Amino acid sequence: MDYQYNGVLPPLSKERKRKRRLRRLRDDLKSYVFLLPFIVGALVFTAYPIIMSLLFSFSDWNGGGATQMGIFNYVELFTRGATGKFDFMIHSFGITFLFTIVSTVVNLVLSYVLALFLYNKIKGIRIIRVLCYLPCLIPGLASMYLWKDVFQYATPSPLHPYQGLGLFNVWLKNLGLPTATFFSSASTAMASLIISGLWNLGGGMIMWLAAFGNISPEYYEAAKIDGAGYFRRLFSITLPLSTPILFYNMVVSLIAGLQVFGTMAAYGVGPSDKHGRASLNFIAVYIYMTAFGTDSAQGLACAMSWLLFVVIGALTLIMFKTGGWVKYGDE
Amino acid sequence: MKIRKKIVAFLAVCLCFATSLSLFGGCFVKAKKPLDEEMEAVLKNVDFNAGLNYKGKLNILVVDMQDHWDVINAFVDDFKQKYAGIEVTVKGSDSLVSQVITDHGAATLTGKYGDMPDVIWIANEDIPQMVNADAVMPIDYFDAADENWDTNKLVPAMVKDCYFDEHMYMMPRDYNQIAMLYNKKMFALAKQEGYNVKSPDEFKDADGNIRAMNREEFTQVAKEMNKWMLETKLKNSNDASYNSGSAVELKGSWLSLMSGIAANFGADLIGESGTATLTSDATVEMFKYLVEMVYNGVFYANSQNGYDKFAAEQAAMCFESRACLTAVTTKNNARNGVYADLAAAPMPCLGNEDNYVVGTGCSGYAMYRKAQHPTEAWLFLKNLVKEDAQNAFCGSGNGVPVLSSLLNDSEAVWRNIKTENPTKFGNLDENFCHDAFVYRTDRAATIGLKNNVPFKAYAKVCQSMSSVFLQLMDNSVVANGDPTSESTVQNIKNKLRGFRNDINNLIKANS
Repeated sequence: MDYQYNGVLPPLSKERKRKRRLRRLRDDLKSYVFLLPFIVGALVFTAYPIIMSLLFSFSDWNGGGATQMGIFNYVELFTRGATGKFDFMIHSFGITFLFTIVSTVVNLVLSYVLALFLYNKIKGIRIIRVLCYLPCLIPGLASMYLWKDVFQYATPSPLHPYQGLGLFNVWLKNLGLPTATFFSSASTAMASLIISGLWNLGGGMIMWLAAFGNISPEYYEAAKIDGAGYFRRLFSITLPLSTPILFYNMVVSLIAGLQVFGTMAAYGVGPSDKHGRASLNFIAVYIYMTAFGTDSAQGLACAMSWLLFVVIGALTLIMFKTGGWVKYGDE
Repeated sequence: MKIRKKIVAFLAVCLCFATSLSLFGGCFVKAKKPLDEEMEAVLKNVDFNAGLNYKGKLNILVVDMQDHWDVINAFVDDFKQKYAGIEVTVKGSDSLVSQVITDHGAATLTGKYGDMPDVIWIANEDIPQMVNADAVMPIDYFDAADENWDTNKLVPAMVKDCYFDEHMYMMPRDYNQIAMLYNKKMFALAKQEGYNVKSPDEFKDADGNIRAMNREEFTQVAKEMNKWMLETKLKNSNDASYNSGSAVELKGSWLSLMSGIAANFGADLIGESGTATLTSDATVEMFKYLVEMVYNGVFYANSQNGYDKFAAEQAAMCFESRACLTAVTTKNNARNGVYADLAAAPMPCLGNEDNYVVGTGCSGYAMYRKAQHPTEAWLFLKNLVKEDAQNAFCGSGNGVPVLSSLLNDSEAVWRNIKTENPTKFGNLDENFCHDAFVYRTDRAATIGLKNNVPFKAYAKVCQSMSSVFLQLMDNSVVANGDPTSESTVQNIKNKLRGFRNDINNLIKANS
């Protein structure tokens, strides 16, 4: 038919357009029927709570009802002094950022180095990889309680010098070294948390190993021919071609780190410093305590959650905008 | 064109958002009705003339622990005997307060309260949180409307303790005056091995009744007992050595106990002006004493349960109120079930005798704010404090009655529990000193913070105050291994100063 019009299709009549639309709609409807459970679930369990939390953030919702609406929650978030939440929020955001940045950098670097060591074809390497990955299989809460026990500290009394000491402190004491406060002091709680997180290096290691596997061996062969040594190949080939995974890890770690909450179950809000500020009172924990603590200030907690969302969104956007250093494919 | 489209889209989103806010405002935001008006509507649905043949339903929620079940079963059995037409269902919860508040929120959103309880167990410390969430009913309105009932037969201090923000939110079920429990077997063993330790029942007044030890006497007894525990080769009934324990176990986070001890020393934790006075000489003196005793291993400050060590025969003495007797006597993996050797004595005076104060408080049952069966709930709450119900409750071993007439009645069940409940308490010592739990009731005092702290700040201030005691009794303030040195005292003062500022900020923020 087309050849009669020299390759140009004739415009469709209105009737034909209508029939085409109806046919498409019928086909689409069949797809929507299969997608319905997901759509309903997403609306009920995701969209609805998100919209309601935004609305609650403009009210004094306490779980049972609201009596007024306004921007007073947001005003309180940015008010300094005893009557506002700004100082507490800045502290919570501060320790959350510190934890996120330090733990992300440490975990990425160490898991990368571990993967480099284990990316070798030697006998038994698979067993070593499995052993490195095994701690990741322990549920997070169980491992946190484990570390809490191992790092336990108590100021010794002359009659009971070992009372209240965990495994590490008992070892330190037996070696004649001073005991460490670990999770019992505001100055060491954060570092202890980051150290205990190194338990999960195996997870990152697996991902890096997969990334290394995706690098074509031809690059290494060509580099070897050109006389490039190990470190030259590492910095010129391995690292640049790992940047997509690195970028992905950074974004995911940032988002997860800023929402860290699981620590509360095992460590609570941590010990307080001399200003009365809890050392492990991350922003998500602070939001939870605001919502479900003695005040039941759920409207205020919703406002905090939206502020956190804006912060995470802004940081993620910045990371994507400045992601020019990521090398994809043959660049 | 593109910019215009973006502006239009932005305005459309803002309009949708504003519309949603208005809709939300219309659906969920309701101006708070005056309480009188709200209660008038509630009371219209209550039949204050309901008799023993009333038919209905009652749902009760309690903490899922053995002693709570023992108590509620005793109350419910008594209630069912009188009100046979009321069907009672009891449920347990591991985290009762948070569950009620969360469920209350969900029920309010949906408008369906059918699954909520009518009556909830509650402790006085939980009331502010429940009231903040509008989850409990002010029952003083019921009291005023019911001509056939009033609170004048109950211990006045306990009724007062149920009041918050000028309304009564709880029906007290017991009178919990703190006493000292001790293991008489351990004292007997220490004496047999030649240690010069007097048993608490050897301290008697002019009439031959057991009296409270003063600070010097108690300190002497505790130190001597501790010395025996460290040096003896004997083992307890679990074949564990005594030397890993301490003479005295105290629950450092229990504000009823610690505020009573503070009052003994003449220390006001919160002054009448509504500000924390933690750095007073009296407070420092109190902490000097406590820190020294904890550091030297004589006291063990428990941040969790108050008698794990005592119940496992790893402490010779502990401070407790009657409401926990099942927990002390029950044998499980952690506890030997101290009970044949259980004895009681009045709470010692750890400070100055002129300031002798014994901490006291109560727990009880509250009515849910939107109770679907308010008549049945009110009948149950009134019945709690009747003589036969109080005796039934005391038969479980977990309380001293709140009915004033039963406190000094020698025939009351709580004083004769060995014969009233031989299955559980048949082996209790015949000379068990029940009077220890009603010793010097003129000196019994509830947590005084309530009088001087704004209602909104009360729960948080109580939590912070508990932290003060726990953190000062963890040995971290001791400098150079000397708990009595000037440096240690300075550390105590510095910490108290920090806490004082935090608590004052809390009070200011919630005024």
